[in-house]
Amino acid sequence: MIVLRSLGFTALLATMLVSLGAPAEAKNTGLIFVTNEKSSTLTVLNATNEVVKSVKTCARPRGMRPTADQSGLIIACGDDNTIGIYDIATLKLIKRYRDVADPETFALHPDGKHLYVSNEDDSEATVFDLETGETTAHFPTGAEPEGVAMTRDGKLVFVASEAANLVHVIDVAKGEVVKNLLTDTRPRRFALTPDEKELWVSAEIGGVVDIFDMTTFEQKGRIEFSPPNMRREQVTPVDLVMTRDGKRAYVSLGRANHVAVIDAATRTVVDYILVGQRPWGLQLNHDESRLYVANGLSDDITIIDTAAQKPIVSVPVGEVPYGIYIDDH
Amino acid sequence: MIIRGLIAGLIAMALLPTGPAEAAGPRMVTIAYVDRAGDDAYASSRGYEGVYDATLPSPFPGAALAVSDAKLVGQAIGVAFALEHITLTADADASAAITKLMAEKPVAAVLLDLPLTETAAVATGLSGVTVPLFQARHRDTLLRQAACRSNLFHTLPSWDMLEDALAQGLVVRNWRRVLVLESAEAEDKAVSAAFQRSAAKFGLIVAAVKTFVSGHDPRQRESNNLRLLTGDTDYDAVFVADAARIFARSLPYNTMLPRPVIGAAGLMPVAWHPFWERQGAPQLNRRFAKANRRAMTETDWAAWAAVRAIIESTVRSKDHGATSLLDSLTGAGLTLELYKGNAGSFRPWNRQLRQPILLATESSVVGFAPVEGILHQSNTLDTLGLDEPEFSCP
Repeated sequence: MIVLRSLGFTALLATMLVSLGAPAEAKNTGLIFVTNEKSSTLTVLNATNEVVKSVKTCARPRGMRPTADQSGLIIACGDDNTIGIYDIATLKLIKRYRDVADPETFALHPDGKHLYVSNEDDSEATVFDLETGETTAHFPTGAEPEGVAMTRDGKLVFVASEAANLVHVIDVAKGEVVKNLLTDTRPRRFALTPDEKELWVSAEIGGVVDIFDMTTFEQKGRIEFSPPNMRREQVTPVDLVMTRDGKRAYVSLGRANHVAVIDAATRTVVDYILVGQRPWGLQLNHDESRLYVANGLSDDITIIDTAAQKPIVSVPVGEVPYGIYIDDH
Repeated sequence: MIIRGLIAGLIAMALLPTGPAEAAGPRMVTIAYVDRAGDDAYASSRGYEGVYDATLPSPFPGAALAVSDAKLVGQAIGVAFALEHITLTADADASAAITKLMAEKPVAAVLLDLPLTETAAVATGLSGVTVPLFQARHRDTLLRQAACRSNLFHTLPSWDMLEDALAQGLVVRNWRRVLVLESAEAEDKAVSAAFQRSAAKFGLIVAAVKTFVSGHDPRQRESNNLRLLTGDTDYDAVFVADAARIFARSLPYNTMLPRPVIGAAGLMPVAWHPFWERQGAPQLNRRFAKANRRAMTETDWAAWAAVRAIIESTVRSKDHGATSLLDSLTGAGLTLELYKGNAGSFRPWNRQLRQPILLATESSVVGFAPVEGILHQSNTLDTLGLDEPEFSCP
């Protein structure tokens, strides 16, 4: 719930709520949205890193991204088998699709209509039509599919299967899995380099990031981590993001409580930034001056100044924060 | 010998253009699961008056789950994994049956679900073959020490590992003085001895060791009355060794002093728990429960882990296990996902699966070992159980 710390804050909040009235003004609000999977809430922070709102969502919200027109937030809720769309301005539930089997994460096709969803308990990835609410395709995956990524042209989709140590490559036009890439243990998430020549995959138990060539689909590199004062087995990489110029990548190291900063060209770790406990979800703001880190086991997010490579502040959110979206562009 | 048939792996093989092996069809990798009809360990058993069900289900579904999970990864490397369930009749010779099976077809590995002495005997009988053997049901320390076999892998933690985990849990809570209760049964005395070794290893104080008996005989009240057993000394916790769990069940909330019970009741060290909520465990528990309509037990998990290790070693080795499975199982490169956080691997000295241990009550996992701050020069998982210097295998 909202904590009203002062009259000034109340006034600020009131202004904000009024200004958020019309969906047309919703874009570029500068607000930061965080899904909290255990408290089933969505926490909203303003551009000065204060919590301004917290609302109940569907049960166990995890994956989150904006609709094509950026007026809504698509949220996958695993415990009540729901995909919900929340109005970004009012945070009201405006659409709800039920009976989507345990959705975790998803990618939105450039057509703005088709969601590629990993269904954790059903060992499949499905294509979900946001207009009709129908599931239009099923792709068998290994057990526990997790991360989903897509090329910009929407032609190839990648799904990581955590338990099978595979990345499934789906050819959208053919409608089939055309390749299975063997990864290190427990692949989780992806980053595509901006030129889309490389696919980076985090391997949580393997403790590394695997790099695949997008033409041959052969593994061409591997990044290892050794953050200060942490043991090898604590290094459990999960999320990874890359800057738009493809020069920097950031990897959250899970139980090692650090975010690694990587020089993408040389594939070397240039810094480790201490954050909260068990960081998973990462998000860069639009000008890439700030990196937001969801710390799952300390119930907070850490905000990093990317130029200085230093944390600025950690802000308490809900229980087990998972996904982050920043509405600043 | 009854062969129940091939499970898994065989369907949907022809699909994916993933490698040169595709042209010739997938290579079969057969894992044999050997158990015996009428094994007492899995006999139907009710608690007194049928108050509760004490039956231990066969862990075969754990092994089957690991094979069905591996369908796609098998396709990716051009291998089809299959599980062959061989149930021996009461008088059949296990070693002979396995030798016969190996003569008929290539067998990659064998999972033995047999009584303790027979498990050791089979490992001895098959000591000349390079096929790895696994056992997933015995916690016995001797099987990993004096009675060890170089071809026998263990996926269930030993009593030493479990009691070390419990001792670490006590240290971190600063519950230093422990009253130890054991029955006169050999297994309970062995478990009690393991706990006392762990207590010494981690600096706990054993306040007293007492032998309990079940019953109400007033002439034996010093040994069967819960208050008298727990009344004449002070302690932070009561450890109870009771494989039957009948006495142990009655102990919590019945001690003279208001102290927690640990060991066979109260806070228990376990390999697996249906309520473990972290490190991806709910997904494995749900997948198992959905397929089998019951919760995943510790032995289900250990059988799953054995097959998972065999499959993972096959996938990771250069020739996909065609020649070198035994080497890749004990190789340094193995990082097994056990759904307990730390990557699993096998101790080369006694073929024991390294793994974290959960500290749990019936309804909740309340702790995890190795605990933060207890360190080891190479792998913190080796703070649990027999470390290399303590190992002796004649």
